[in-house]
Amino acid sequence: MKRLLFVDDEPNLLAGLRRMLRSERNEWEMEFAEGGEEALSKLQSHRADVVISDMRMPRMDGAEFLNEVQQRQPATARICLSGFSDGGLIMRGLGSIHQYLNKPCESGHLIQTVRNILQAAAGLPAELHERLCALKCLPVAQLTLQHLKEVLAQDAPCLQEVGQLANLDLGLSCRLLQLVHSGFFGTPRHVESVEDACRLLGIAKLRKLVELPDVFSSQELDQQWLARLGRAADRLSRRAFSLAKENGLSPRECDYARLAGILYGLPELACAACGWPEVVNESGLFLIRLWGLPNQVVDPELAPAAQVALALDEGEYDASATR
Amino acid sequence: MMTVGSLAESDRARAAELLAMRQRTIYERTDRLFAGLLIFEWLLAIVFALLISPHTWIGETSSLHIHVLAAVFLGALLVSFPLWLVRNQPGHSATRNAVACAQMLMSSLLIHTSGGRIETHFHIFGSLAFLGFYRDWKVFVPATLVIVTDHWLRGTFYPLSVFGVAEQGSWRWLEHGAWIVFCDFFLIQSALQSQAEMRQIAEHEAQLESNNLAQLRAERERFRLAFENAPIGMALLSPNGRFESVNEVMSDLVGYGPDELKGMQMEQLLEAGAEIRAESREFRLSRKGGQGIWVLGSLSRCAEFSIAQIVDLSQRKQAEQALQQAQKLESVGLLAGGIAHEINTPIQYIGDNLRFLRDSFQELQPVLVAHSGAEPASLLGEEIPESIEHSLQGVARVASIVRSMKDYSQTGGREMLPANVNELIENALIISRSEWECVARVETDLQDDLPEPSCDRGEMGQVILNLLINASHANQEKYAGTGELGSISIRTRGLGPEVEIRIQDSGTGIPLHLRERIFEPFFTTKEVGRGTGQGLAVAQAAILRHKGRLQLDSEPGEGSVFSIYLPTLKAEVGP
Repeated sequence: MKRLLFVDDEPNLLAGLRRMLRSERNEWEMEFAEGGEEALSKLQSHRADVVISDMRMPRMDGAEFLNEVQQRQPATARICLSGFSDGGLIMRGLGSIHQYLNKPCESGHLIQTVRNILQAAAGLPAELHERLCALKCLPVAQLTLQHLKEVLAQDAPCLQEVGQLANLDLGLSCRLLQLVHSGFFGTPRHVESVEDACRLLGIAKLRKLVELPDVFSSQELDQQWLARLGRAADRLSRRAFSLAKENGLSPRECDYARLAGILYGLPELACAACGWPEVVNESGLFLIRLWGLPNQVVDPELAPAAQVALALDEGEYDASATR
Repeated sequence: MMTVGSLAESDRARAAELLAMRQRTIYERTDRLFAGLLIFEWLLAIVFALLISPHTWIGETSSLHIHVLAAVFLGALLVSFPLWLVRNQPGHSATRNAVACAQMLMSSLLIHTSGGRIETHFHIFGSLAFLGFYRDWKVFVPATLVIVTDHWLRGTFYPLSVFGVAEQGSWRWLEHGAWIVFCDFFLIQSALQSQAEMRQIAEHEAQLESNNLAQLRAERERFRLAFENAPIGMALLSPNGRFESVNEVMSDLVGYGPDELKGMQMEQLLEAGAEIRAESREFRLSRKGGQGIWVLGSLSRCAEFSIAQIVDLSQRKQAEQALQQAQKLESVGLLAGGIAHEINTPIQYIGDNLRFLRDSFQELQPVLVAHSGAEPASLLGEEIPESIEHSLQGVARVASIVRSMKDYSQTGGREMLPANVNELIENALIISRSEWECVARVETDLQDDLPEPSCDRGEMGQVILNLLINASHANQEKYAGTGELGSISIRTRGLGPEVEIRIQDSGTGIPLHLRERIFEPFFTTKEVGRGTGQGLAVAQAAILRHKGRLQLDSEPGEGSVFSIYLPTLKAEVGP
């Protein structure tokens, strides 16, 4: 049985969750802790698959607690369930929080989110699952990161330039989509593109984000390969978009096709980032669910969009991005 | 020393004037001296006559000597005319000449009454010297002529009375005349020199005067320029508070022209309760047309006039107000953030518990129905599930209100980010529900795929909220007490490079003459406590900051339409 650990300083909230999740009691084993310290001591005796924590708590706050969990049990999925929080607190937790849910959160949404993550994890080798959970961020090409910092250091940076830069890097694109698509900085937003994500975050936040250690980082990976992967994702997303348009799909579906194109290379990058020798396709789906990336690209109801993207000439993709 | 040639024409005239004044003073003073002297001499002549030959004997009869009579009557005759002139025409040359003749004749009289004693002739030189007091050489001419003529006539016909001897030496009068002319020569020299010096002094004085005058004029000009060009409003007032002169800033400040102000009192410009004092203080002035403005002013009273100094504070007050408003909004925002967090937690567990109740009840319902009579069937079947459902709806509504408040609680850096305007409108409607619910039906016609303009969400939310509240107030004013409901319709459209937000009410409308003024800060038509007069001013300023515009169409009695146009700079994304 999968174990869930809920942490909040408000006992009534924990009790409410317990009652509300009663229907799931046969599937999940649920624990509740009234603070970070209590939760950590509970984790010592039993490991948890998913930790769901409040942000604003007395003594140990959510960011501190989740950072600690990441250190001790990297294989846990770490979800935040909180009301408004100030930016600083969230920024500190960006390296360890996988997904951010805003209070009040519909029970159905919470259950679905956890279920999706657990489902996607089931198809992964345990070791890879643990490495993916431990991942603080996806690698970003050194040159791109440097360039991004330079652009943001200008007096009046052009958001379009930032968007174009991000478009050419898969790691950067994924992180930006994650930040906007999950509720880190307000209500979760559906975005059509990486440029949109940049615009929604705004220059001030982007400037803060590039200075943080665990938000965007470059790794010891083949830089040329990273750059190729980024270019391929860009090309693929354009291709998917225009194909979707040609096939007369709705504007929304066209957007999903574009996003599917971007995320197509995600398994490759994810496996490389955690040093896994071969590409496991399921790792992409897992990260999408864990990070709360646009889920629609793998939503069976939106199959046409996904299919358009997946039906692309794979030969072209492989040729452009091989390790 | 200045020379005459260097004097300007005006200075020369002034020098002549000064000289004439000085001369006149001397002439008049000397006239008065001589008046006294003549009277004194007359009395002296009588005394001499009485002492030296008071009586004369002819036989048995003794009579008063002719000398005494001469001294009394002739003396009086001599003195009376010049005295009359001194009294009636002091300083005139005629007076001087008459005085000179009288003085010389007085000498003759003395000589005569003393029986022609040669020593008495020295009196003549004394008289001449005394005439020198006039510093006018011309007086010596009649004086000399008179005394010489007197010597000649008396020396010829009555030598005893002038030379004291009966023998008639026919040329002796000439010798005396020559001595007199000899004396005149020096006296005239002295008089001329004195005149020349006086003239020089007068010229010097005139020049000094004109220099001082020029300096005075320059000084005056400087003060005038300082007054005219002062960056603050300045006015000179008469002691009774009437405007005498004002500078341009002042007349701009109060809205009246300088000529209009001239007939007005300072008090007329003060708003009720305002006071202007010697020390600087802030108060309100009432401009032409009744508009009030904040100023800093003082009124300094001098002996002959008062100076009012006024500084326009309206800009500063506006900035202060804006700052206050911003601070208020910020603290409200901070508070809203905290409150939202606090409320969200209980909402979470109230919702969770309600859902648990609902699910549990569903499970338990068949059991409960089986164990109870027919009576509570409706309770178990309908009332309880319904009450739970209603509670859930209520929680959902609270949650949506708190979510809407988020727009007004942006505490971080205010940044222009793409915003869903429809969402802003829906949130504003939720927040302001209590304002419009009872006065208007709200219809929304929001375009689905509306482009997203870059907005400061908090600020634009505030703008929409202000306009909504205004629309509600306009409706309330019209429909209050009629039992009818007005309407507010809100429409959004993407129009090319702009997004249009149209907020239409069916309220009282805005009369033509107020359409400009409603955008002024502090202008309000609402009763005290209802509006600060800041709403539209803040809205317009915010929209301008967003590079947009605010348009107003209004039909008095029918309603108003406020349209906001915001530019959308959305970059075309895609292939």
